[in-house]
Amino acid sequence: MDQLPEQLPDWAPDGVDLTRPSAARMYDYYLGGAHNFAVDRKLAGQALALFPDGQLIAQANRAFLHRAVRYLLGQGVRQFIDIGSGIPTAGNVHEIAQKVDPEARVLYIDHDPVAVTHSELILRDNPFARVLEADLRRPKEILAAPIVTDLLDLTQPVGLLMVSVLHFVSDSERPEDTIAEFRDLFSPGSYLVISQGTGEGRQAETTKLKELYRSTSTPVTYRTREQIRALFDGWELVDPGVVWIPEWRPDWPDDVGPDPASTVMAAGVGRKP
Amino acid sequence: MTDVPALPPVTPAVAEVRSPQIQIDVRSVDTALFGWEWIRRLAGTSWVAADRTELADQLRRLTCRLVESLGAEPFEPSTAIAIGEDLVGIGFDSPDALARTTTLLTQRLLSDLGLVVDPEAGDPDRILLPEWTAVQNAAADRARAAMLGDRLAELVGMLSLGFVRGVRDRTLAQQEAIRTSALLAWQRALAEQREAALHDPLTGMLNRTGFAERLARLTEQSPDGVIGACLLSLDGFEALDRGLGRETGDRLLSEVAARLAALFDGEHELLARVSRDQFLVVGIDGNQASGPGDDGIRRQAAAQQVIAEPIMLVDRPIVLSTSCGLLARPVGHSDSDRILQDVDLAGSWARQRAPGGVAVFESTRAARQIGDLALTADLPAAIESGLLLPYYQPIMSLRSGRIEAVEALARWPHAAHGLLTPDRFLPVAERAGLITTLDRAVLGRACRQAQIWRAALPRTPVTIAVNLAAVRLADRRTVRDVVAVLEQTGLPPELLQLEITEHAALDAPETLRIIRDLAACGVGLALDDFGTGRAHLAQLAELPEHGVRTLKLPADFLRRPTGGGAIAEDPSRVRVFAAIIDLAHGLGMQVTVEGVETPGHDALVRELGADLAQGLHYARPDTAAAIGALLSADHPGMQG
Repeated sequence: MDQLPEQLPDWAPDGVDLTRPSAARMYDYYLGGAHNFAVDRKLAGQALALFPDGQLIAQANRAFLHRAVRYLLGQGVRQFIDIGSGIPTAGNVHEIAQKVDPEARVLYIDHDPVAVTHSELILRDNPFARVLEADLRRPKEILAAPIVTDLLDLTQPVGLLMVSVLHFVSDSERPEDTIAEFRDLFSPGSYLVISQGTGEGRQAETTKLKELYRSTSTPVTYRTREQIRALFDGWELVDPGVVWIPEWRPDWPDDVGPDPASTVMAAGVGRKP
Repeated sequence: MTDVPALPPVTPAVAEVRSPQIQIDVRSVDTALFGWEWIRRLAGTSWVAADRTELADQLRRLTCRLVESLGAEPFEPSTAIAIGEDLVGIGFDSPDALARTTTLLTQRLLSDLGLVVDPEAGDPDRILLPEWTAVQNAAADRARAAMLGDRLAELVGMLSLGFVRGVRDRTLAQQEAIRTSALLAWQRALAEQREAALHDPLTGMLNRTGFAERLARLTEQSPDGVIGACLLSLDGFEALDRGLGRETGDRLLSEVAARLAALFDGEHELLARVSRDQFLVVGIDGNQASGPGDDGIRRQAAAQQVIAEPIMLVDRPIVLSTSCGLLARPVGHSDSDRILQDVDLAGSWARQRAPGGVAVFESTRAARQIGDLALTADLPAAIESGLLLPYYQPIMSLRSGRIEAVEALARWPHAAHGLLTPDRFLPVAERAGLITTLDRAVLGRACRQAQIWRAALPRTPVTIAVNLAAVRLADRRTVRDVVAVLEQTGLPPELLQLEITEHAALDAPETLRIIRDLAACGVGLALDDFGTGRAHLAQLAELPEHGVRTLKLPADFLRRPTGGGAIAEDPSRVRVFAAIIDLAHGLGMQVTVEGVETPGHDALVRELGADLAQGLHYARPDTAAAIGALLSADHPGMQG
């Protein structure tokens, strides 16, 4: 594509509606990226007005992903499914994993077509990392996709990463069933990694944030730490269980900070027995 | 140190030291500690995907480069540009990161690395540069310290420049990347949408639009071939859909589609689903003059066979049959719309034929069907304007030889098609729901005409016979209509004979009630076309008591079914004919024989004792004026 139009066309087919803010691109903005458009920055700006430490929370969440992936690598996991992978940002799962094992497999899944296309461009030359456009809210599409079995060896453990994504799945979409379907598909020694917004504490702000995200294609559903624990049904929770994101196996004691609950996001890792 | 810009004197003492020597051995300063302090300050400013130790080490290296630049002779402030860019490269790319970096460097770099001693912290008069232990001159030290401070300020400026440049480049690159991705995603979604618009979502086969597009491409490749199209309609599928539910219907359709897809590889044939229960197979065949050809027949037979295999549902097997319309046409002869339209037509003929029927497209039949459409459009106006009008055919009394009655027969003098008879326009009227309108119009006109003739022939009035369509015998309004016409025209009821067709449901209580009510009005009733419809002999016995007093025998009784030869030479047929006439007489009905065309016919019907006859032998149907002339000749007393 030598010539890019000054502006993208006004009209866009379903799924590529650039007049609607995208959660993936807003998250990129929180992390300081420029993979976003004015419409994303506008809503993200409103979210940051509610959560002035929103960038720190996004960074803490990203750091949790890193620690979790490194932990899983330490447990011998060499295959990952990252659901809700969003816009690829520096230090993606495949970069961490392939630094340890150049042939580590990573399957990214997102429902945002722009994020997926961007991932494809980045992964163009990487034979062991692929991306699938699918919606976690329709797990059958994911499980039926040939790429899952093409890329991954399901007789070997898989790390299922649902980092900062389940708050975009409502209770009526039964994420517990989706997780159970994956669990049944995976071999023992596989891992489930979850981080998600709890809505616990900072009540006024989280309520308003939920309102803000209504205009995106991904409305928000909070889950308390107790509810997140319940999502690990059938998995053995790894120490320290479901905790605020900075508290999960911090690299440095002072990484936790004085008030980890202020991140309002909790995380946990479970192992399939 | 010629490159060093002239420094303003800090103190008068500096003037003594024109060219202070700065030599810093980087190995002797503790850059590692400074790296840790730097990373501590940058914490949280940016998302950086690396471990803190690693980052501290990277920042330590940047510190070393800064120190080297600081002490380099000649001094090159622009070397710090790359340091700023590298800071962004590591991932510290937020405005916060720059602000904290510049603050840290200006406040702490020189003192933390022990390049100068903070005058506040130590002896204000003594500024120590550890490398220059030999230098004892405080004034010179101060000059050097001042120069270091100036150099640092320049380096920080250049570092900021590099940082901003790096951030701008990164931002632009990311913006370009996301815009490229968005555009690609948009193009892809557009292509998918377009592709989806060409396919049927249930089976993934081409739909009508997709078929048209692919056919155009296929024909371009073989301009000399013959398009063989085969439209497969699943017989009675609508009923299956209703009975088993649409979901089951979908499963059946998917199965049919899968079988067809397995049968036709798609390389030589196009497969499309063109409506809920219709599939289209099209191939480009070798040169064939006309007709569906071997390839077309082969495809049709194979498709019908593969669909006929039972489809197992959960609780039962389903067997589907397929009607098939065929068409063959040289490439370039007609576009895909036309091919679809014509093969649709052939498909409809096949379905009319029977389940599992096959029909080949014929252009004459199609032309006629299309002509019907034009007639449908013209018909309402023709009825309304009176263009469509009754012709009249005399019915002769075989005893008196006189015109006893006149039958009104609808005729449509059409501007383009000439004089049309009911066999041409009645089916059209029926499809268009215009039968009642047409019947009413003919009845009204005929009765008015009969009243005119009655006035002209007061002593020997003729009966007017008017046909009543089958649907009119199931319609309560018919009785009202007849009464209203009689009242409006003043025609006595006994001069109107309504001819009811055997095709009506004569055994239905509602129909019988209408027949009785009509008889009660005093009009005569005749059963038309006897022996060709659905009445059976048992019912014939009932009709006279309902008021049907005339039996009309169609021309079929006067003709042999296969080709020529006079009916009189066929004793069996004559016997049946005679028996029916006797039977009617036995029931108290009079018999009219239609279609009497020759003197032989006339002799026969007289011999068999028929009461009345009509046909070309006596007079052809004609306009009211022409028949009026006949009537006045036949009835010399006629006036006017």
